Amino acid sequence: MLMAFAGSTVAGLVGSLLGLGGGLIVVPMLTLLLGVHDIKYAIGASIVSVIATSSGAGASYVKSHIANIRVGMFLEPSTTLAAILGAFVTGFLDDRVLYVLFGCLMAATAVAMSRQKEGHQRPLRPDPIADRLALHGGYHDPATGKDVTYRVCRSRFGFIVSGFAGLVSGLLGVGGGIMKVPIMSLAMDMPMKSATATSNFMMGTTAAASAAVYFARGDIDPLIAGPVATGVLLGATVGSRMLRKIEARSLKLAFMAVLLVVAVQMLLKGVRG
Amino acid sequence: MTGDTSQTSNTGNRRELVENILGNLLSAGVISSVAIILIGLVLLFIQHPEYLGGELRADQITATGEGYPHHPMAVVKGAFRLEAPAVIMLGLLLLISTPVLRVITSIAAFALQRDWIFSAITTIVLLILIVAFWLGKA
Repeated sequence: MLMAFAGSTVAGLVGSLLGLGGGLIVVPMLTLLLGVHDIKYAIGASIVSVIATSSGAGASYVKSHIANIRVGMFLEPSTTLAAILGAFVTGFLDDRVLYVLFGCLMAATAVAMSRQKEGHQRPLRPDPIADRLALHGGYHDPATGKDVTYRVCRSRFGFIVSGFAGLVSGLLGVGGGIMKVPIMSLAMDMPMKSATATSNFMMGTTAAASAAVYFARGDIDPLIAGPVATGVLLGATVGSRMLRKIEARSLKLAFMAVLLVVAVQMLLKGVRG
Repeated sequence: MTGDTSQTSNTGNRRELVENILGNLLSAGVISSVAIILIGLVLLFIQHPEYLGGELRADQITATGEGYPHHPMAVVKGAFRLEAPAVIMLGLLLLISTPVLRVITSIAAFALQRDWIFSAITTIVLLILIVAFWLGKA
């Protein structure tokens, strides 16, 4: 129990330093290290911790106006509906399939992290939906002292593709930020900071939809999810305070290596049963 | 809906007010649910000290022997009896409900701003969340 709390704290800390949710770390930690036999309990605990960090981080992003809540809410019907579908499907899948899927997601995340870069400027496309719904936004950036304003485009494409992020979130108990941030920054032309903050803000609602399904099915064990949720939140809170002080680059490289190694272990566990 | 073609400072201020309310709601939800979970964990260690470093399954320690509660009423009843797993579960349920409360508040906020399209979008999200709670039970 104390191990789960301590491990989750580390997961939340590392996750927030790298801009990932804790979920990608929590599930392998519970199944590979702490002997949680049923991966569904690990996923159930993870999805609750996603709600905790999203709501905690979302609160400060919303108050500082960096998160674009209109874009977030515009995409939520798509992500929540897909998340329910994902959570529902998990109930029917064999544990070994879930291990394999999770291993694939970790490997894909490592690859995505190695390519991650700032959103480059693309020609702006007029987007009547974004105009009509007033999705465009702006915020005051305390780091540069400047006011940033931006226009949102390709909102219909973003709406459809966000569903995939929701599906993966519900299926495997992760936040899905690794998919949502590129959708918002690269396709919808939002600044990286807004995309990250909005992704965090949305995650809680998406995760609540699938957590409800996990709860009702009995896949949320209080003795696992309790220490995990509090631990991840503690770690993420400390991590967000440290963020400006440390150099995240070396940490990122080390984490990519760990991610690949653990991905292989998850795949092996799935294949061997 | 066609009234406000430009962002007047009035709607800007309202937008800011809504964002502050939603932010405060989220932090209040997280803080209170984490507090309940921590109380539950302390109760657990008092009632079952052997769990401190040991097993991670709740099945063995619930009174009924049929696993931990996963129906809202059972959770509330168990929590009133101060059964540790039920108290922890109550905190987890409050945590899961926090985004739902956020969605409900948003519907009211958008309606007050006469932003009917966003009231509708947010209502759809609420309906999806209700379906999730209802679907899981079936």
